[in-house]
Amino acid sequence: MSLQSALGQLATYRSQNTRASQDIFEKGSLVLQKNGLKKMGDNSWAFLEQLTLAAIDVGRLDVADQCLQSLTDKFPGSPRVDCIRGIRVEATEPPEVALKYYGELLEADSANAAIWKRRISILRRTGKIDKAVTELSQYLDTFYTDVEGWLELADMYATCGQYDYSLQALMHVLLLAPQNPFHVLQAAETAYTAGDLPLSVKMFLTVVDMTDGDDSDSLAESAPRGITVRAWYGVKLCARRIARDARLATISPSSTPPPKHNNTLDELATERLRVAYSSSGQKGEIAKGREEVFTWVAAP
Amino acid sequence: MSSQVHMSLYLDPQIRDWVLFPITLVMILVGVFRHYVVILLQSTAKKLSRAGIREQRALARSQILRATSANSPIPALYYKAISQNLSEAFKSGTYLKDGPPKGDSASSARNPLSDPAAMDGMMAGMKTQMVMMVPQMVIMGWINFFFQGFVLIKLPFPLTLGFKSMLQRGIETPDMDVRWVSSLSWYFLNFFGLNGLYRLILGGDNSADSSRDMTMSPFAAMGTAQPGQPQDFAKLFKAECDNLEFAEGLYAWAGDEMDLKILRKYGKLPPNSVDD
Amino acid sequence: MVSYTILHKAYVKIFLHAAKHPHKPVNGVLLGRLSSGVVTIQDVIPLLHHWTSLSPMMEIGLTLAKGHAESVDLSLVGYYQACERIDDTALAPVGERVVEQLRTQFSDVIAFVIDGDALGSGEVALIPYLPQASSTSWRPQTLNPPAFAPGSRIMLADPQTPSRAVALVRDDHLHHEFGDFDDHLEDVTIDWLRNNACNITDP
Repeated sequence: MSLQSALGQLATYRSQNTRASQDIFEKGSLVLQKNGLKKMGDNSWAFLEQLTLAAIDVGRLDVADQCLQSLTDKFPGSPRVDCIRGIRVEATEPPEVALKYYGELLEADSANAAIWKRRISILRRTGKIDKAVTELSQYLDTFYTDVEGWLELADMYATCGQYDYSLQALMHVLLLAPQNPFHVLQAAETAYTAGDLPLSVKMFLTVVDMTDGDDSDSLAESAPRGITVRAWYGVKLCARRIARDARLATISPSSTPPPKHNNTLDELATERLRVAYSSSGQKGEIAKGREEVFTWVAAP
Repeated sequence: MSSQVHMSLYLDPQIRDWVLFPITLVMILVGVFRHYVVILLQSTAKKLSRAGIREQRALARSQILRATSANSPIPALYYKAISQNLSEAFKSGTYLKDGPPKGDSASSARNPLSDPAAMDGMMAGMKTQMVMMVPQMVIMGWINFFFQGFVLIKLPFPLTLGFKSMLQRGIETPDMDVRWVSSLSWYFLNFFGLNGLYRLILGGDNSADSSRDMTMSPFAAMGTAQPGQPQDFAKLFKAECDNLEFAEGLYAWAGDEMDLKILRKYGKLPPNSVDD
Repeated sequence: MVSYTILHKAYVKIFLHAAKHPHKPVNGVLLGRLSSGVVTIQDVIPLLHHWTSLSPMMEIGLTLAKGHAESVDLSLVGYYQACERIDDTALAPVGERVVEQLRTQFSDVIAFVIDGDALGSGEVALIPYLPQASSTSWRPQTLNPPAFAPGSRIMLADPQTPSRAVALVRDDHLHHEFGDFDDHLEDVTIDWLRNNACNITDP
């Protein structure tokens, strides 16, 4: 692998915030070996930060310490470096030590968002879910626009089985990032789990609408791909449950009206799934597990 | 050629070495120096407390909610809940930095001079302005005192008379060719023209450029909106309540008719069928 | 008292699934057969890694997995999961619900939680959970002799399996070939039911 392509890949990971620690670590070590640090200019510090976190993730603390040292030399007293140092502390020290470290930093600057989030994550990790939820709510009350924080809150509620609260948190996510179909999908699945089928089916359909491309001429022929398939599965599941038990369509904590033409929706979902599994995929390969899916969609 | 009145001046090369270059050099150096002094002064920027950030960002929440209200990604129940919560919080002043106002003190306008945070902001502005003004005054005094009436260079191209006041400031000769540039004019040319050079040396958002602060005096800056200037959030919040109410009137859930929309999209329902 | 034997292929797949998503929760179901008091866990079907506490895709995945298991003449005999954090080895509430549901169809169901600390060490990284006789809650089972020790109720078919699984991940990067139901839902050409590339029976 050439230095150039490694650098490009690392930059992509950085911009997309991907946690591919093993890969980042391998490529990052290559960059260090080939002395690529100087070629990056100002990017080299962001790279060092990335490599530090990846190295902590894969357990190569020696590399992490090295990177952290050069970052500390360059930016003494930077809150961002403080945060990385905290993560490094978390890697080896017991949670109480890290909590104390973060507590001191927060005392100096109570509005340090990154540190605050780290502290909440430790609270969650050590099983103090209720305290973590309180703190996270308080955090989101201050930094409302943090999508990551809202997703974390939704996840915390979902793991405790509080699906209604989880759904409420996801609604804020939808407001903040209305263009992201994955969030809508998560909301749809949460609504389903919370027992709100009418809301769920509409959310699944929204995902379909967002992801299926807009040229309606070829729409019926083209096979659904990617996340759209998942949404059709969801539609099918909801429609079938409503078809089996019509009362489910009227149970909706969010007072969403029941879907009209439920049977047609069911048929459409079946048809779309059949198309998805009948045509060849992106690489010309045929879909796997076709028989099982066909049996499933054909079942009453 | 020689029949014409030939106004030819010879400039002593020492003028170039001892006046032209020093003025330019001094101005560049002063600009760079000022840039760093300003950075030094700003480094003690005050951090906002949690409550302060919360107050500042509270408006954004309702703006985000309102932005999509006509085609909102969230169902009615959740929209109304969020909207009402916000509006109540705005009315009762939950988001204000100092907590909900007590009694009649809420109505009295806050004096910016009594708020220490605002005072700090104003002082920082003043300090920056002083660093901008003082060196320029000194340089101008220096040039006026030592080099008054000096002619420094001759531009290599002809100009119309209109440029006379610009290029020959400080020399009261009606007949001299406009191409000659006086010392004071050279100072002004540098004063306005060095910004490009600073940008090259110090980067985009440098504080070396002095022509900016000629447009605003330190006292004018105090009156207009300035970062750190206190805004009356209590009033802003009250106004936002009306906006929220208005947006709620426009509200519609994007997913409301999604079942029909998808069925039409895939040709399962005739387009624009009226259905209920 | 039934006893359990885990074949090489099944263990390797669980291991690959956990290795592919080290910082996410993963889960899946175990396929096997009961004959003369021994449940042989022959294969696994990996399910989710995005979020494991939401039910719709889990329901679909389970139904499809069941259909597949019947087509190869096996039944769903258990469930496995790994948590996001290596020190967390509790069976999640969702896991309990899934196992309870499986139990209605196969009475000797077993659940495994992956022990993140042991994962890279070459030891057996599975913590068995069995239903408590008295209550409906699931607890890690302390057996005598302990699980995977000689003579225990729960055994690996081949004691070399864990160390070989580590090698498969570390040297062959086999986990990149592995796909679960979540992957399949994004790209339907991924064969999550069979995972043929990872069907390593014996060396």
